Amino acid sequence: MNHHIKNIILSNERMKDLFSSIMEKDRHYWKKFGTPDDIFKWLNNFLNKNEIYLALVLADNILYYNINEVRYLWRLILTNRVKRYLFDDIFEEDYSGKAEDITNQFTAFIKNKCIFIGFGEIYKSGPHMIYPFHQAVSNIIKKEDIHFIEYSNFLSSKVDLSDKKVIFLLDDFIGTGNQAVKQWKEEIIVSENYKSNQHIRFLYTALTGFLSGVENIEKHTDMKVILGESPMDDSFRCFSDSSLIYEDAAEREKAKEIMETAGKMLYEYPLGYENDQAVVAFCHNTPNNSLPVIWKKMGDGSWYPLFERFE
Amino acid sequence: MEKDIKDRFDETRPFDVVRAEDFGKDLWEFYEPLEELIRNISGVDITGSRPIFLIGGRGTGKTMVLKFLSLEMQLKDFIKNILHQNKSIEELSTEEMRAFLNSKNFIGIYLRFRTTEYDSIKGDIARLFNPYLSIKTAEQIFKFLMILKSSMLLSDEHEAKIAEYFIGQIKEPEPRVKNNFDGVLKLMRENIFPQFETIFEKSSYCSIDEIKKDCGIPIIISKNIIFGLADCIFTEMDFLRKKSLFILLDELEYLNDYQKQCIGQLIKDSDETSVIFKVGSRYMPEVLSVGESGEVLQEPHDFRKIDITDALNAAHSGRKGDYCKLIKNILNKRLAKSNYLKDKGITDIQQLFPNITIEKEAVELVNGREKHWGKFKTFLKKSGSEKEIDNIIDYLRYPSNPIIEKLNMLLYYRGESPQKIKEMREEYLCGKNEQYVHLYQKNAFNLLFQLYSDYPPSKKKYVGIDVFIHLSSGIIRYAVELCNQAINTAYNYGYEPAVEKPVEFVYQDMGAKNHAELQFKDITRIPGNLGLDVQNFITEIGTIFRELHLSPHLVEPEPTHFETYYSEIKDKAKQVFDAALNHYYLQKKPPMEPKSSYETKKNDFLINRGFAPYFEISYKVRGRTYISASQIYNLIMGNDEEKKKTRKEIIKKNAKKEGPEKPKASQITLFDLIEVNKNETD
Repeated sequence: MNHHIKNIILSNERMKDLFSSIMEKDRHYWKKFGTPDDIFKWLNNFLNKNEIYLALVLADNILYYNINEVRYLWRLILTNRVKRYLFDDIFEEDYSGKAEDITNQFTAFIKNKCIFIGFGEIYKSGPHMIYPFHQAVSNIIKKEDIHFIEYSNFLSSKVDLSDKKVIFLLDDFIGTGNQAVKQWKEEIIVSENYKSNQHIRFLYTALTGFLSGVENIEKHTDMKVILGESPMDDSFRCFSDSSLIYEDAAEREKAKEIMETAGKMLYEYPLGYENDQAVVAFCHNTPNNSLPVIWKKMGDGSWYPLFERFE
Repeated sequence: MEKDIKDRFDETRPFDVVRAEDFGKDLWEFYEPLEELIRNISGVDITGSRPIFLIGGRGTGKTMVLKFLSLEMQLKDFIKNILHQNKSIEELSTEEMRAFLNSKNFIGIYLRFRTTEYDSIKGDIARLFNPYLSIKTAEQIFKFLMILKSSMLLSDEHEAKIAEYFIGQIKEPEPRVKNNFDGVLKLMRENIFPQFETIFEKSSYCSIDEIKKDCGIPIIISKNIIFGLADCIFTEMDFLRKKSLFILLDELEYLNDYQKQCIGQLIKDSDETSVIFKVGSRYMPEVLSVGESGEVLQEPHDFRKIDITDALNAAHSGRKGDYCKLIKNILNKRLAKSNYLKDKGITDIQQLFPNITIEKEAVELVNGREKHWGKFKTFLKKSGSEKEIDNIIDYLRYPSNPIIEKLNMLLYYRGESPQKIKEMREEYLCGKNEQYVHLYQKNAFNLLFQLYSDYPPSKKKYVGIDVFIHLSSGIIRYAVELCNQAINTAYNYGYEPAVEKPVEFVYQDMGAKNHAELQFKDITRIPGNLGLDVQNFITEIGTIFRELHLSPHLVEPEPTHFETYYSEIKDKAKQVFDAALNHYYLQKKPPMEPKSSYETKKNDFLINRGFAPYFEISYKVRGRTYISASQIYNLIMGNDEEKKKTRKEIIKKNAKKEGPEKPKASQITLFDLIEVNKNETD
């Protein structure tokens, strides 16, 4: 099998370049595969040379975040993005202008005024962010100074939040934002904790996501969204007219046909949850907003994933 | 703080680290001595008593050479390779240190100029360069003295005397320092260097008057401190008498003109002292002035220059074997450091990148096919029947070596009878027919290129360690990078090293081609807005050579170098040409003898052989092509039309043999080509 895929790649200069680029990305950034075997297995899902070429283009454009990058983004979210947003809250009384004040006050603010929740039920990706979040900020804030509660506990049991100011909801990826809006409306604002603590602000923090999803959440909820990365516009959607993944329209059309046909066999949303067409994967999991051809593993061996999604 | 190479050395990819700086304090473990080879080839001894300018582009190994001459590296090498021990420098006993010093005629201290502080010493504070360099040098000298002290070779009296001497050279304000080495180093680090640094920083936004007002007058250091200190040390201590202090200054190209003048002055002043300057630079300054005196340093009276690339370029020197051995030793040292590869039984670079003969390559290319007979059959069809054609081909056929078949076809074109060709070939196979032997040796490689052109889209392969060494073109780093590219490409496709399992040729070839492409792209990085012009010029030359390779007339097999009258190249064209030379994209080659007695000697230049896979040409140094200075001007400065016209002109002139005698056969003139040029080398 590998030999067959290798020969196809080696027969074409463009494919050789793409494959080299993927392997170099893996070596320097992804740090996931090490050897090409899993990539060959994934390419073997595709039927012919043209499909393999389009699959290579796709793989070369996948945004994969390794554990160091995930940690880096959480550190950035907390120490840069959030700190800037909460500046006035942190220094509500006095600010001397000294750098060490920011550090000390911020640490105290996190310790005394904030609650962290992995957004969603335990089997969702949000709660899985708690561990890398801890690792990322461990040299800034002591573990015991970060107060976590489970999402289900927040919804179901009474928590004393009277002296708190901010609740952080942690997640990895924002697609359409519909799920977050739904949870906000159907779960959070009907909860006793929300009702009895109207003074608290909600910060929805995620590693990355689509701009439209961010706008959707901010429009339909009272949550402020803070991402580690700049929000992605439509150019990050695999088959949008402005796609940077398949820039050539004819190539894009052909790729869409192939990925959609394969996707129909794999998932109810052939181009990703709610047609998000994302090409994002994380070390801990791949969001279902990404194309299922990237992440789906079929039990019968009929499809092998590149970045497997674990349900 | 220098990093440990162990942090960077990936055992699966032992050729990944290439810069001398990245080896840090472990450089000596990877160093393969170049000094002897350079001495043998250039006739100049780096460790001799003359000031040396060691010239070489990126990756040629000059930093390696200079760093290796430093005391620290020499001591580490001594501990490992002479004492065969594994201890630190500080643990050397008095006797061991004495033995080391007895074995050397010099002590080397290394300083490099590619640092921001030297860059900021300009304008109003330019004159601080000399004292700053002096104090940096003195700091290194005191570090060396600390090493002597740790081995108990130096008495307290020695220490006090030397420290007092140094303190005595520092004026305004009078320093209050303990007269020992610790005190001196403390003075430097806590007082002198911070003063300099403050001044350097302030100079970017304050006038000199403001600096003087705010910082006070900087400590004045006697300009002769380098020589005075060396003199004090080398006369004070018996065991250092008759030894020299090598001041190893690297990356001179980063200094401005005034600073280079200061170096010129120091070299001049070092005459008849125990200090000898060894200077590394990417290129030799056109003029090296002695301070502001108007005097200039001249070779060979004041210094000797070694162009390390020229010295190592096997083709230039004719010592191909030495160069190959050096590179293989360097690569094998890397393998020896990789437990991963050692455990797999790989200890020799040839196990990873075995060589392939051109005959085997030809057989693999042809693979039982007959396409290379196509044009020949068409030619025969003009005059013969099917049966006659089959008969002729039967005489010329020799499937176990398609290159011989190509040669036989050319002999037939030349007018030889098929029977005679078969007879010659049979004699050749018994080692008897010298004419055939010579024709085969001279043309086989180019015939292989032509064989490739019979089998499109197959392209010439660049594989095997010997080919990589050829492609390195005298630049050591290229050889390491080529191996790295090749093994990385193989890993990308799932390669697992094992004995009897070399890197497949397809990945070696891809590695070589990737490397060539990267080098080609790298040309644009030449500073001074010349990069694109140089890249275009190299493209013109490469295209000409490629065309000549495919010429059926094959006047000069494998053209890869050209001759011209360099002094006639004018204006910006000369700037571009010189930039190509300075960065080794073009390389000088000793001129060949003129073809006739009335011609004057021209200058010969070689396209860097690293580009061979990019242009699909030979990596050997063969087949000179004359390009006039005005043609070079057109190739550099002309518009697209002029460049194309000039290219055609050169190809037309060189693709066919000139002269009144017309070949008997209509196509090939192989027997006309038996003019052996004795200067040609592989």
